[in-house]
Amino acid sequence: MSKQIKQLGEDIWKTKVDKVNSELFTLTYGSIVAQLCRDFNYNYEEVNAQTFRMGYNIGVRLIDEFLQKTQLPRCSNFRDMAEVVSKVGFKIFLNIVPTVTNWSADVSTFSLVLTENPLADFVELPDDGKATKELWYSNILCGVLRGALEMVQLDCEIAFVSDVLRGDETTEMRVRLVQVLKDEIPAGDQ
Amino acid sequence: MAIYSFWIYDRHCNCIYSREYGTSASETVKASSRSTPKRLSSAHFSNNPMENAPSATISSHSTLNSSVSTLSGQRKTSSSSNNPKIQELIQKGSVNTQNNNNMSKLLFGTLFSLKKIAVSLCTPPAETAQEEEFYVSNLNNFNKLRSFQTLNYKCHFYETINGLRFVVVTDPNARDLQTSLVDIYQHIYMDNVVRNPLMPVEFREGEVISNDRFVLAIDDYWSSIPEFVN
Repeated sequence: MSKQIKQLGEDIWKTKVDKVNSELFTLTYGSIVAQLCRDFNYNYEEVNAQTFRMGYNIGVRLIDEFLQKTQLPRCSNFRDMAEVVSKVGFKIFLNIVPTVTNWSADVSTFSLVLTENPLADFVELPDDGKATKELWYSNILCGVLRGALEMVQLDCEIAFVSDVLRGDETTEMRVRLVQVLKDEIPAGDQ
Repeated sequence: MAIYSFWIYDRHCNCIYSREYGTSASETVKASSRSTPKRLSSAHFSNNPMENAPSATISSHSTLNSSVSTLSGQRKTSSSSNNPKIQELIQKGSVNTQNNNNMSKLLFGTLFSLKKIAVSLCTPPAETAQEEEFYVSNLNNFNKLRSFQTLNYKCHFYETINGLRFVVVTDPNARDLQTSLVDIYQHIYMDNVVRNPLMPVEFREGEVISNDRFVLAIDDYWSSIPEFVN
């Protein structure tokens, strides 16, 4: 199963995806974050919230693209979902394959360790003593994942727990499944 | 005329697009007085699917041209064919007028219940609580509703994993049109709604897809398949 998924991700990346220059992408995102920092007067909490929201709005649309390109059926458990997110999702949109690891005992929480992060190339956080503690530079990724998973009825909490930009050893996203959303029922018609 | 209406529901159960294609008689009259002419029509169509096929390819190219010119505001008819009959059927129909009426709600309710039945018929036993949570979420793989059929109608259904439902109501003799619904999602809906920054993907109550390009592309698509005209 896992191997097939990996193959699928690679095939789609090779054949079906429109690509842009990665430096253009990195620099564009960098300038967005830099601008946000200035706009919000270096209130990094707010910057995190804004990039998350931008990501969320991307995610709710990106899921359609994902489903169209992959034609995957619904995952039958959270473990499969984690594999698909890392080996297909991240692969086809960012050409990276984060490592899925650190499963909690009840299989409701796992970590995605980003061994490379195209968003963070050439990046240095501002040297004001605050940014390295408060700013999650790639927070947009959490938003994207959150938005996309919510559309397939997986209500997840997603946040960064470490980032090499802050001097940590790894860049790690923590994903926790809160609940599987139920099918909505039409409003009563009295 | 073998395609009667086309509907899209979003994941909040609202009808975000409805399209009815024209008929000479009203719904009720049609339902009660039709059996004989119907047979003839379907026999006719099955004889010449090939003749109609070329128009399909032409129409997909002309979509772009025709939709660019709609910026001026007037409703243009689809350019897919010069067949006056097709034009008439498209003209006579209505777009987004039925979204919130009883018909739309009943149709949704029927599909919703049938889907529930289909799923509950064969959901395997879950071993863990989490598995169970995954299984009872509505869109699992174990069984899927594809279509249902009555004496005078056939209703084709396609649901995406993110909760969009595409429905088309046709003549009972129509072939399985689920692939067409998939096509509409993957090309027309993707290109004109998801990739269109001016369109929402989360629709508020009462909000519908009124995008001219989308309306035209849908009309082009349906009128280009052989079932459209008898």
